[in-house]
Amino acid sequence: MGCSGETIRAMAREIYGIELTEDRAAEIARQVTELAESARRAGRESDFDDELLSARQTLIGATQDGRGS
Amino acid sequence: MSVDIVEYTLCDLADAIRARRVSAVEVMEATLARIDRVQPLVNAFIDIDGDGALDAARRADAELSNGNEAPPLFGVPLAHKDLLYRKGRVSTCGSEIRRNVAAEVTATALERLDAAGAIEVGTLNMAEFAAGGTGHNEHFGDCLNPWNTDHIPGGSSSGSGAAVAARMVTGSLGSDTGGSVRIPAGLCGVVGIKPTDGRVSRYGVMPRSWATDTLGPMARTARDIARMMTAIAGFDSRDPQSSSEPVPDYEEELEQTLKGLRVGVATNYYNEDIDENVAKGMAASREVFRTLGAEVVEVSVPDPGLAMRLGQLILAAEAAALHGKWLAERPDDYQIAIRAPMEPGLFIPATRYIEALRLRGPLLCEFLEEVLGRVDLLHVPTGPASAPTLADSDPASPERAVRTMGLFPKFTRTISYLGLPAVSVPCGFAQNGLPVAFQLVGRPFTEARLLNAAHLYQRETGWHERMPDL
Repeated sequence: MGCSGETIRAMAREIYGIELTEDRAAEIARQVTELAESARRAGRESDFDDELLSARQTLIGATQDGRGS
Repeated sequence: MSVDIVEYTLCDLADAIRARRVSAVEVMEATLARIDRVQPLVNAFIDIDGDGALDAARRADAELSNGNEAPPLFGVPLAHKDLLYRKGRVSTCGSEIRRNVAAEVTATALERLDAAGAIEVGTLNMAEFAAGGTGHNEHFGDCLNPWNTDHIPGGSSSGSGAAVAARMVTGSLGSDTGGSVRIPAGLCGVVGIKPTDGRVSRYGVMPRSWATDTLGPMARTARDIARMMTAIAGFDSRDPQSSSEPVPDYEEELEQTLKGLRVGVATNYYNEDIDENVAKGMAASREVFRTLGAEVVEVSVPDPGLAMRLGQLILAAEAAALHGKWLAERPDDYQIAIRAPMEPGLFIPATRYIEALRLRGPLLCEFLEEVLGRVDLLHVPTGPASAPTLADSDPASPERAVRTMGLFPKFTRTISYLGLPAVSVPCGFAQNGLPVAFQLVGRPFTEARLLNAAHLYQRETGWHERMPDL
């Protein structure tokens, strides 16, 4: 489920005021799709309540349950 | 008395000044002479404030002669990556865009080093906006590896690695978002620590990624790092990520026995893609830990590739948010190799960014249970090989640079995504004479244990006592 170079080019112009060549926009579209895909797939496997468990809470919590210092 | 500063570690210098075996001015004069001689060879500094540093050293000696008690880094010359702000001073961040911008605040870490008595002698070279792993910099000149100046020092804290290895200063602060302290420490043969997220305040430091930025010291020995960490770690209300976990005296913990300590060796991912020099250094260092009484235990790590990709996504999105205005208004003031990887971050959907952030907690839990629940420390390479040449890693030839440098982040970025502490320690030299290194990764806030293990390893081996021929 990727995005197209055309979409990237339009977004760059409309949102950020940046002009991209067609080739550059296509390359960025490829990279965005690749980056976003790993989060999409991993996100679908996570639990609905996962957002309650932030990395910060886990780091600090680890010191209180014997997994930390 | 003349001081041959290349013989001194940071703690040696500090202790000698406090004991009045040498004056702060003598140390500073020797430091400036060394910098003057070596800077043309490695280009580690962006700015050298010799007069200001000598004035500060004179004031330090006057204080000491008044009978005042000297704090732990009293009179020690240091220099840091040029992204730590000091009010009124320009912090270039290695960029053209910030070349003339004076800071409005002083970084908490600098305030704490000031309070510990350290003296800054200048600011150090770095990748533009901390966004490169090699040491190339078109704006201020490439920084070079002191062990062989045809090779890179690594980045993005390139000047920190090079200056400490070249013995221009005994210690330096760098920033580490995905490996930017550990990679140059490893490639330059010095020790560097990426602390647990929240352990060291980032207030007054140029941001690259709010979620994963950390600040850590680089020095020749774990003892030196311990002294700097004791000075800079601790809660700071001005950094929203700052932790109020108590700060130990890291130096006091260095001599703890390693008997019974479980050192983990990865049976997947981290043992792949390394060259024979790194493999040899890893095997030999495992034997040293066994000799020290540690139990070496094989452990499988859960798909670190996922954490690495998610970390990359967060970094791309946050860097793009930080640089969006300049990407639109001043694109030509960036090196192309720095600007190009930032641009995709402008288009990452918010939902994916949030998913990547949200998954940090669960993936960290999994890593703590499956890896750091079975071992006390994880022993992994800092990188796949010793330092590549400048030519092979030149970002101006992107395909070649990716082939050369593409594997380096795999060993460091996952740890950054998880927010865990890790220390890079030199463990020998490759056949080409360049250093190789391992990392020790620990549970949250176990920097004292990491430095303890690194210190005892260094006492057994002595790789850190070798000096580049400059």
